[in-house]
Amino acid sequence: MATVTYLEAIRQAIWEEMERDSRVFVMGEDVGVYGGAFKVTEGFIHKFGKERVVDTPISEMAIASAAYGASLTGMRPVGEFQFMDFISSAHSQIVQILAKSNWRWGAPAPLVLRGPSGGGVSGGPFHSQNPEMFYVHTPGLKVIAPATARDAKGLMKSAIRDNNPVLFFEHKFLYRRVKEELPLEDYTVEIGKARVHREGRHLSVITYASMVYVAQEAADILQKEGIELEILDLRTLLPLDRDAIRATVEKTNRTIVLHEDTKTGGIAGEIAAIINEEAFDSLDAPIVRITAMDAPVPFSPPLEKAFLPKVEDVVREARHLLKY
Amino acid sequence: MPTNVVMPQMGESIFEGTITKWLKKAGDKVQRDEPLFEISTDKVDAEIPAPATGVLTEIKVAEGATVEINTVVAVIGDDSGTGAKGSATTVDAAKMAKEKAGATAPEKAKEPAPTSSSTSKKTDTASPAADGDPANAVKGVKPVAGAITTGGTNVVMPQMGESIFEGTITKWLKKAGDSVQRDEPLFEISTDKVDAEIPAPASGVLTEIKVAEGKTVEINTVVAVIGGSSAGSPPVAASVPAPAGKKAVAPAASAAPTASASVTAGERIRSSPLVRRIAKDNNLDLSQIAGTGMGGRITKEDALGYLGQHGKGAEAPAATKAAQLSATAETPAVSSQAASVQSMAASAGAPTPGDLVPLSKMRAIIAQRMVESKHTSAHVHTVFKIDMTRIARLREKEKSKYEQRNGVKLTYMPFIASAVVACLRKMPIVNASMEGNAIRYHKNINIGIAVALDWGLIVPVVKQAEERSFLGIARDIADLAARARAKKLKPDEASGGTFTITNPGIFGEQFGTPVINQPETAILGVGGMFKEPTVLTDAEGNDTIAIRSIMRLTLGFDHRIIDGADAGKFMAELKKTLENWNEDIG
Repeated sequence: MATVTYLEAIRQAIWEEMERDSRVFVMGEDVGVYGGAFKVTEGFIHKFGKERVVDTPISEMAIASAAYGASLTGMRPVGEFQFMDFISSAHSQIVQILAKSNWRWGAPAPLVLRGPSGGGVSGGPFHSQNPEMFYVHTPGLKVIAPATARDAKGLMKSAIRDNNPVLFFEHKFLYRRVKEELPLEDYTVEIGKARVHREGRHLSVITYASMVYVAQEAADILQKEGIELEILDLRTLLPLDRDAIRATVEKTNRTIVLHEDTKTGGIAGEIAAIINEEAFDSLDAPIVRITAMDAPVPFSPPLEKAFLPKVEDVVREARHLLKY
Repeated sequence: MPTNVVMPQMGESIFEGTITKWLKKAGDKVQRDEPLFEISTDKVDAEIPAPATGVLTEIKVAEGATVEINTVVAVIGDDSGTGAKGSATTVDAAKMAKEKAGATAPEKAKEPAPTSSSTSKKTDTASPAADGDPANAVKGVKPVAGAITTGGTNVVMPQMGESIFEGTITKWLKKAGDSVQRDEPLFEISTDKVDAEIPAPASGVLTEIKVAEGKTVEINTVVAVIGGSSAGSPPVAASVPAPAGKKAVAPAASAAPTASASVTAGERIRSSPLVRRIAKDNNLDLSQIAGTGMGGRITKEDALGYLGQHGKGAEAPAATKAAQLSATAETPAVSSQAASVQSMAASAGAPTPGDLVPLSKMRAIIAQRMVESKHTSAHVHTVFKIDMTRIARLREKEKSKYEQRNGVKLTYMPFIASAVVACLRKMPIVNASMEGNAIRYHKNINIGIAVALDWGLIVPVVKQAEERSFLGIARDIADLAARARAKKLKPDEASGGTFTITNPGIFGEQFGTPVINQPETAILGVGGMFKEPTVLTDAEGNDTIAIRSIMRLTLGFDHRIIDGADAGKFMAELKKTLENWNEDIG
């Protein structure tokens, strides 16, 4: 066992997969000598050479397209977007071609497009977004957003080994803040399975990525009042683990859906609908959404703090629901 | 089962096609894959093959008409569907085809054929089963307007086994006007073989219940309709036929007014979906529960607290419920809110002394079979005392590890069942049946396990038990019993037994004299296990008294083919096997 950061976990996953499978290679802006903007691929070029660690022009469209082409020839590319905000520059390629390749032409596209998303670091409106829902709405893709180092590594390995195009949303706030001991041996985490991050019996907080830790802090506070939160970390957003969502609602009968993405069209609405469809008569209170405001991410630190969901929000809403 | 022939999609961006020529006419026999009609689309012209073999019973879209893809253009019926009905259908179909051709021609330019109205299309594609019903086949050839208004998915009585031709509806789990999801349990049935929950074949509003609880109908009879003319309104509910006989039993006339009186007009009880489910599952009257939530809402804790204090409400007998349905139907003016409260409040009172409650289907079958068996076999019973100490110790030592390892509880049943299998192998006469003037020695050993249910008794069968390991038998017994209780048995899982084991010992009986499950020839009754002082004799002939775990096993056998000596040998062998247990339990 060794303690590693969330970022190091991702680095290890890609490194080990490249050692294991010669078809795996990385490409992206400054992933070579520079080692990537966040240093996820630091040292890769010395180990694997520039054939397998490819610097690209500043064009997300080019990265997605080249990765797709490579995947068709039997390679298993891992494309890095320096910031997931700019995935929109590759939108057409991802939505029209990658997602539909296997369905329209019977041509699987085993590739991973990964990069940092999320706020809390004063990155401003172009470097703090959570664009995952554009892709959760696109059948044919898989969308992953891990919260822990262990899951980041295990899910990255599963993503690289998966035969579908997988979008891997890392959370930049967690890169160096989350540390955890990881097993030394090779392991994977199954895509499409949520994880109970903390057991509780009074109220479920369904969430993912950095908001898992917001829920955790709230749970610590509420525990002192005798309120036990159960935290369900979705881990994969597409496909969603409907069974786990249903199970936690059936257990606690009260639900908060918490995410850092903005409210309208966020996954909380989808989850509320799933609960309505599958566990309506397990509800003892309305489903509450706690999300970022419907606004671009502010640059100003005080404004960004106001914009993002906070521990106090979860504590307040939980108390309210318990009284409901 | 008739097959719908649809306009195929001839390319990604093609949404309609024109029928240019029919290669067969109504009444013709067609072979699967034989060219049936020709179409013309924006991309290609093509010959379309028949999707099934049979008789082309109906052509729904005439030559020259353009329809959307997936529109039903014809129906291929069963080859065997002959006789008066078949020919009448054919004639009508031909007539309709003509009518349609006439109607279509002038409108062709601006609209596809009249059949492509979305309602009728949905009906046709969503429920091929609908066409299996004779009533519907006739409907299908009526003028189109009629077909549209009565559209929807027909729910039919399913066939629960090869030799089953009818079923009894024991319970409706939804009422007219309720929304149902595809695959959600819709009603419960009872047949000669199994009781089962039947899932809804489609999602939508249950617009009509055609067959009331307690009625027995032939398979494929339409018992309800989902969707269609979505009049989820009182007139539809009124179409529930209330069985007159049952109405007389229940004091519904007095119950209904009393119940509604307890609800102040317009006042809504604040609760939650969960609380309402708890109330429904436990027959609680929400109006009796004090709410502590916001605005007096009844919370989960309130409902559970009430349940803890007062216990479950009494289950309404089926008769009362049926009568209630009819009461609701007769007063369509009552608001749905009041109606639901009423149904909750009125659900009081299990059968009281003096009531006459009709037999359930299962009860009736048990009654019939038991008497038949007593009339058929010359029952003799022999009781053996078995020292189960060795097995009891083994079980005590292994049971927790066993469950962890194998995911199945280690009970006494698999010990007894596998010992029985071993002994039946040695004594084939006990695994036999009398057929006329001959004895059938069964190839396989199929062990029936009697499972007590809240509503009766069923005997699921561990098939080919002679090929199974101890663990295999243990798993099978656990699985079959669990599914029997959940009404999830398949029909053939409760038939084909060659020997039955029944275990009333769990209630503490010493021994019983079980009735043979025909056409088997013997049945083993398992008595309770008791610690008893027992004389043990050691190798040198010294006697001591010890406390041992003793169980009495009774063999009920048919003296027509098994004599006392054979029965004795079988039981002695069984005793030896159990008392000296040395099989691997997996």
